[in-house]
Amino acid sequence: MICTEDLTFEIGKFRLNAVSIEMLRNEYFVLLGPPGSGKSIFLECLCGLRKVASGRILFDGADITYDEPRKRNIGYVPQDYALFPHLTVQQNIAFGLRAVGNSSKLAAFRANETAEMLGIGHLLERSVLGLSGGEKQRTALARALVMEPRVLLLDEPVSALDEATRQSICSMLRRVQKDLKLTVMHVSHNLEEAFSVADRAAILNNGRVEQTGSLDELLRKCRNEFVARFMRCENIFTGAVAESLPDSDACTVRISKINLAVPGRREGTVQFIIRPEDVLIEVADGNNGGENRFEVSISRWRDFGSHVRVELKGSLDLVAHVSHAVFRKIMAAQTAKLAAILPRENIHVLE
Amino acid sequence: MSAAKQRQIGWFNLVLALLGSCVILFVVAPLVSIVLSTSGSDMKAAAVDREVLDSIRLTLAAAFFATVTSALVGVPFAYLLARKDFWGRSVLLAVIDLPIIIPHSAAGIALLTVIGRQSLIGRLFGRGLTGTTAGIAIAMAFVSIPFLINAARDAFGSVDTKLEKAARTLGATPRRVFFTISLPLARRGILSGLVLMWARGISEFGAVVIVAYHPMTTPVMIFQRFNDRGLGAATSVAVLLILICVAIFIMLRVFLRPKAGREF
Repeated sequence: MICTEDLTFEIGKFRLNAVSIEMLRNEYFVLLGPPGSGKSIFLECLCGLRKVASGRILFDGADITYDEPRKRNIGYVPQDYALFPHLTVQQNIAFGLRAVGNSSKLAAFRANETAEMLGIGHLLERSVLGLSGGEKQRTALARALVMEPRVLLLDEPVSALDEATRQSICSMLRRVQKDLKLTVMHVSHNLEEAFSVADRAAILNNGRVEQTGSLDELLRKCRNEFVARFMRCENIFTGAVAESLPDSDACTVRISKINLAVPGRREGTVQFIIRPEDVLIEVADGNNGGENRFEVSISRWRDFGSHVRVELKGSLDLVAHVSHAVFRKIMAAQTAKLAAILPRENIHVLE
Repeated sequence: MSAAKQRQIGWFNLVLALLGSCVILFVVAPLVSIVLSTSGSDMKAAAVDREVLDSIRLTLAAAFFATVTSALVGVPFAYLLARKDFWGRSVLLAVIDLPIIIPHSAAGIALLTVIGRQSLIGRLFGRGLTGTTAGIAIAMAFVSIPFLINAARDAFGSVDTKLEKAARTLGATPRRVFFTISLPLARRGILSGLVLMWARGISEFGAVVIVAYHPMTTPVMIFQRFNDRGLGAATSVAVLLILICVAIFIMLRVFLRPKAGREF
């Protein structure tokens, strides 16, 4: 559908470094990254507001790298919506239609239609200055959608909204994307937001794509430590390979005072992760045997509502996310002696 | 907050208010004094004096003409200065301010070399623009155009470029972006610049008197009457011009005042 090939752009000391991303048709793609990683600049390059230094932007195979923004038919909703303050909601939505030569009657009709679809039909005559954050967001979205864009680019569309509005706008975005069969790129630094809308995502760091894939892949098959940390994996370990395990595609890695079995035959030093939710905890029964099983005790815990975050101290310090049922069971045992189990299949070795 | 601190702030505010009063008194005192020193009969005589009325009409019209023609070229140029970063931009910014720092009589002499009888224009058309309404308007424009361009440049600079970018992604050409987004949003700043330029044009004496002693603008007439007939004859004309200018200025301020609930 739309892809970039080695897109490079420089501004001051910042550089988008050979960014290659492909968005599939009708896909909801989220571009993740910390502030300052170049997400917004990348969007502006895509819609033609910044001239790239090298690389290509292809749309269904056609090179649009140097096309003017108005010729790309790419919808763009900037971070703070950029609504025109001297125009009403209706005039804002109809602006693009008028700009490309539609009659004012047709532009008004289609603006009304789009506004109704997004639930802001009652605001059409209002000035945009008095709108709430959610209403502004819907107006900016309507203004982009009314042009029937081939691709819609959303720059941090919900970052300025409160939690409840954020969730409702995310649901609306996903619904609109499905209904209109749109291809959407949504820029965000917020993981929860990505989980609520994304089909696939990419992680940008300092102008470079670290990894692209489904969110599950980004969570469990991180390519490197940056991706692991961005995806909030707290259990990142580094150790030296002790030996290969006979009769299996695995090896043991010496960390602290214990050997852990990790998948794959490797040599030298390896870095690996295990997601906190994949760590198992059980009451120690005196039997300390078993693969990747070792004694731990709880040093701190905190209830997050959906799960309990437990910090464990022992041969290896680590973090586990457990359900309330498991946590209650552990606490009911009234013993400080617990065992942590790191299932080998849930361990992922970083590149 | 302690009582001592509150007293300290009270004293500070009082000092500020006193200093402000001095400034206001400095501006208002001469104006009030000149109005009070003119008798009603003198004012009435000036108001029906055909020469005076013609000169006021000429002054207002020439300043208006100078402002409108300058706006046609100056406002797009101000947009260019606000939006584009190009080689030599800072030099251009300094050049625009030159008419402010040049003594206006010297500016008048300089203009004579361009639009006078002996200038290239003068030779081409058989006569120069000295002693014409066009010459007066040019002299007014020369000394007052920096006020318009600087105000318009600041006004365009205050328009968020994100709005222009958003308009471009919606299919608008650069021309349409200028006329439908940038210009309306910079409107108030530009209008302030126009008013400033126009007012500065009306009050111009130094450059105008050298380019055109006749037809006589009101500042030139005030000078002429002061020289020929004394302070009394000049005062009533001066008061009439001041009252007309203040009235127009107040009307424009009311017109330009932002409407309630609108921030731009």
